[in-house]
Amino acid sequence: MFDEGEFEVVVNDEGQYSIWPVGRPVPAGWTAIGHSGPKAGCLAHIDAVWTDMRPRSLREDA
Amino acid sequence: MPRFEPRPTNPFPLHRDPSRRRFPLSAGQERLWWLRQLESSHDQYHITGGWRFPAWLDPSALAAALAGLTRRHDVLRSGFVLDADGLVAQEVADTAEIPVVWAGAAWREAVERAASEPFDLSRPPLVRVVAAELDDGPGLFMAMHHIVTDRWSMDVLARDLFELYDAAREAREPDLPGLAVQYGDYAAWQRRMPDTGGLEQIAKSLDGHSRLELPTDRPRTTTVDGAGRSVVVELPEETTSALTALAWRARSSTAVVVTAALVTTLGAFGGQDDVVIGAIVSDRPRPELHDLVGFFVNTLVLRVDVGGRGLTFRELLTRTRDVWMTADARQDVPFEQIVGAVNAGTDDRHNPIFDVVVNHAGDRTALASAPGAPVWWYPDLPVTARFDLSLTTQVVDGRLRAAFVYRPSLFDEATIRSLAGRYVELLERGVAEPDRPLGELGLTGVPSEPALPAPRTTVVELVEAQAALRPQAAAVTGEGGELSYGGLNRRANRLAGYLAERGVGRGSVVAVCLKPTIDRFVVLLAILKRGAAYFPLDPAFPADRLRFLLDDSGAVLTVASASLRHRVPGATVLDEIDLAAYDAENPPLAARPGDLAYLISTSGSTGVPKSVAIPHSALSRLVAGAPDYLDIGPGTTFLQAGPLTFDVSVLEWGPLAHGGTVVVTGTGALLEDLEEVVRAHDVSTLKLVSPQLDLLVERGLRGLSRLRQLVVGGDVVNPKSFSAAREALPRCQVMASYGPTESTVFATVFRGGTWSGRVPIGHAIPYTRVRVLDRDLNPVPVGMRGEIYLSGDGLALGYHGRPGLTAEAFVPDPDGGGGRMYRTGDVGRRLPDGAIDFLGRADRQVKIRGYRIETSEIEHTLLRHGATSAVVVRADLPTGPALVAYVVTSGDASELRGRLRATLPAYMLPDHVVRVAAIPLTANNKVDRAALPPVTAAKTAAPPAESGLEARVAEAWSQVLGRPLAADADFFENGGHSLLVPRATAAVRRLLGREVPLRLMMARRTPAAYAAGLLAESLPGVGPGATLERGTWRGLRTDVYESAGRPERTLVVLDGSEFVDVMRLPAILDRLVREGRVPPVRAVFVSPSDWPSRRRELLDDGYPDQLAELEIDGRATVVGASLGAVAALRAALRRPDRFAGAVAMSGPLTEHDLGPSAAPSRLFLSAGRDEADIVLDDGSSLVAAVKHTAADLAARGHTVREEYGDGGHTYAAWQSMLPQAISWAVEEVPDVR
Repeated sequence: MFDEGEFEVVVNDEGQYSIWPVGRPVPAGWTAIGHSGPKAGCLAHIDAVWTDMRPRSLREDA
Repeated sequence: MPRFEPRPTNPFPLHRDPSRRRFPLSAGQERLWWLRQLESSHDQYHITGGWRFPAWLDPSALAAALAGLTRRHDVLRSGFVLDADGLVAQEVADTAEIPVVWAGAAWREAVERAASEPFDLSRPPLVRVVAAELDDGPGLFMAMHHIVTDRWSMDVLARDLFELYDAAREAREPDLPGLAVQYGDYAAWQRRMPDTGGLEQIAKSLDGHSRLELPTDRPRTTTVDGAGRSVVVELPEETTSALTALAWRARSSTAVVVTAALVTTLGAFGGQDDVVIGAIVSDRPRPELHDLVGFFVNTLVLRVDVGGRGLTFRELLTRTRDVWMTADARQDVPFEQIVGAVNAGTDDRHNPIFDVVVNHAGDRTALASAPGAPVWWYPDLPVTARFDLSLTTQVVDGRLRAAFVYRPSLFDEATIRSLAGRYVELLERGVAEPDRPLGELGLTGVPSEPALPAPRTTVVELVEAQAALRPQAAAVTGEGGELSYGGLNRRANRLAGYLAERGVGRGSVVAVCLKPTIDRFVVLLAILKRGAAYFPLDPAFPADRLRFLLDDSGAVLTVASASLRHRVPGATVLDEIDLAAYDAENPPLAARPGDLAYLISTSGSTGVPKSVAIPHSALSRLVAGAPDYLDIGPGTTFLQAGPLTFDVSVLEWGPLAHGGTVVVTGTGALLEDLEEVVRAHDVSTLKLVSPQLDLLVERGLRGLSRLRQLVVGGDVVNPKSFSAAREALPRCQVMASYGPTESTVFATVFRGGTWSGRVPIGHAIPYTRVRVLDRDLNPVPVGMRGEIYLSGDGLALGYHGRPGLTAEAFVPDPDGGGGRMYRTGDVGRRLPDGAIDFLGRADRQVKIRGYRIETSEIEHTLLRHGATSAVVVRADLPTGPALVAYVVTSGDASELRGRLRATLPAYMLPDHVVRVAAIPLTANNKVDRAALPPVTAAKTAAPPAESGLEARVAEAWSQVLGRPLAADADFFENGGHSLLVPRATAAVRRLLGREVPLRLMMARRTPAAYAAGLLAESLPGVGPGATLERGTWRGLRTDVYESAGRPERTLVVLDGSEFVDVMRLPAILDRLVREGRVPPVRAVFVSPSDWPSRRRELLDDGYPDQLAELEIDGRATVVGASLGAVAALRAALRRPDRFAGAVAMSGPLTEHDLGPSAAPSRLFLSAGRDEADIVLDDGSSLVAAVKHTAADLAARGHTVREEYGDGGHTYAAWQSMLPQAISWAVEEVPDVR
């Protein structure tokens, strides 16, 4: 499931990023951000866009 | 639809040869014959059946019918015999009488005996019958060996038997179809079938296959018994007809559908895409064979790829059908040849290539459903299992009946029930929705309870509450004295004041490098009170790594113990802070549940360490749930013996939050002070990691008798140590725990209920959800392999500053809610009670020689066999991939390997077992693979044979294999298979002239090991008064034999070790002297320095002179065989002053110049008649060469005797020649003129 194939970058309400296999319905509470491809590319994209790893609730709390 | 290759037809005619009594075995029979040789007591291959007779069973008619059966079917009169060359044949006897036991009403015992008693395959008939009085009439039970029958044949037999019986009763001719051919004709015809390339294609199709590895409930042992049990499930009628319809539409068959569902289920349970199983098919390719009794069964090897995202049941059917059709077309290739071609070898405990078979019996034969067909009677008999698991399907009354027969020695019934349930569900759902991805069929798995939200009170609040509640109670004791809750809180408050001054606040990271003293918690609590996170540093780390970690964490400050200040330049030294200057009152609460509480560094697979970031909410979840399984309230004392950098230390917040006492002190690198610490502080709960427990168990657990709780962590808990602890500490609860750092210390605990084999990791702890999911993220049913996923409030925020790695490991929870779950990479399965059994790391499966190996299984086995700790890795050595086991053991590493051999299959045996002083661990007590020493002394070229016997065994086996085999090469890894064993053994028997058990080759698979095995049982014995002493002469092995009495004759025997160890010449001399056939004799056996130098030494021109320097009285007779014969003759001819004559057996005499003769000699020359086939370099045969040389030497005035005996160039032939050769040679000692 998470080992092979194409993935898309997803994000949840807390602003936490992850990957999800292309072709499978994205679980509720997660949104595809529109970037997909091989795993390494997705993870590199996440490295670039997920700059503040604190969950949104914590960030807003601070 | 693809075009399939057709099955090649046998170009030879199938016809009856009435004159022939001796036939080859069919390929399948040969295999059964071999299995019978190995499993001497097994009744797995018995076929039984019974029938009911109306009213009364007439003994004389039955006798006539049985006699008629054996007359009609030659195979019922056939015995299976091994000839001198190791070839098996079936010989048809003139008559054979089927034994009948008239058991009456007490038939049960007789039936059981008939079914289980072994058959002697050499003595026909391989059939026995019991006549029984059942409650409702007579019954006839028949037990046969599979080698002469099959299921179809049982219907033929029934038809024939009843017709013959009726005919006898009615005194008429039986009305049965004529038999154009007999089974032997079929076997001979089948064996003539030319190979049309099928073998090569099959071998290619199996290239790189993985063996199916179902997780077993118990480890596989050496002794595989035939005991079986069965689980039977049925498909409803509607589903069965839908299945048949789907099979038809998909242009396949019911057999294909049931197989497709089976391989998918097996792939799921085994966690692999590449599934190889066997299929048992009935094969009667010609109509003439339909009315025969006999073994007409082929085994197909089916390799199906069940992988691929979104695969549907229909696609799976197509794949399975294509594989099946191809295998079907190639079914004339004997299974044993496939085994040899893919080097599947033979393993005592495994079937070659596969352990699971499918057998779709289809509909009954026309015979069985014919009107008036005999009524079957199946007495209840113990089930026998020929494979680990076999599925037999049959459509009975419109419903598909699936019988799973399994080995209870490997599997629990619950596991097989679960597998069978999954199988039926897959069939039902797959047939109903063939175009839906299998992962979306919603197959049932074990549900997991969602995690409840954890309380969010931070540890800071909890400890402050304890300080208010019990200010005088001991919070921390150990190195540095004792701190009460009040004292701890006040000191932490003051330090927090200092930290505030230094700019430490919410969101900061403070690194700590601390000795294990009670002040540890002053520092940690102070940091948390500031709303900051602590980050433990290991003082033992290299400076570079420490620098990296500090940079990476973004720590604003480092607090160090005074003695460690030099490790972290610029660190604030705790002891130098004037705490009195700061306020002792609680500061305003800073830490929020979402704030980072600590970072723990773990080694990353990429080689760069990464830090797990744990928020307060996760820490609160651990602390809030801990009392559920840990006794940490007031009055208890907790100790964990790991460093602060190891996340188990986080557990210490548990007692502090709940009013217990924590012990912080050094326990020594090898826990040498542990018992003292436990006694001194009255520790009630002790947390260890698995290797620490092993250490303590080895040392004895007496010092821990006051413990009330012992928790052992680590994925693989040594079951031996676990039960040792339970036994030694009867008043203590011994538990196991599991949890990655990413889920805040613990995820599951096993509270110590019943368990077998492995120690399970147990159930989820509070506020934690543990899922075991298949690759489509569906929960697995009981027994099925899956990956462990964790969720709940215990999850880390991620890896500090590593968004990509975090996104990869923390994935969306498929159940929605926007949550995440942590993908552990650990593989486990559900036990029937819902507990989880840890099976290993997903990434620690290694594949070597086609076998997928879970290294943790080998580690488990090493632990069971006396290793203190062990780690197994795959290494790429110059010789290819290899398994290397690193072990800590007080014993001998090679002995350990020997013991492993008794429990592990050969492919799982480590190629190298390396003894190490300790398994190197990372700072977090994980195995530091990079620090394991490399395997040295990699073997290069194969060493040459060390002895003549080894060389000759290697030569004999090479001939059987048709390719050269080195002395240290495994027969079975070089194209050998079980059916070649009788031939290879026969070759050795011929060589030695004595019985050698077939089994010896199974245990000793290389010529070197085999030769050693032969010698071990053939030590020469000498009688009273005689002596045999081993010595050396010029560095060569010499054995000196002296018979009773003063020696009057002397022998010098070349290739001495072979004459002593293999041909047992000392014993022969003993007998000759005792019988007065030779005078008392002294014999000096000279061995070559080693086998490769032998030829050069024996043929060296100076050799006769060298031999002349041996210490001998009088003139000796030189004895030699083969090249030794050349050397013996040369010595006698060239040095008559020292040698009176020679015995030269089987010498290639005309190839070498024997030299001039100085004086007449007494020469015995011999050869075996079979050596007429050996052609020498000069073109003459060996026999002709001996004859020619004998004539030549006689003409030159020597006294010559020549003898030509039975046999060939073998030890056996020489051994039988020796008595007369020696008697004659030493009869007189000729004068030297």
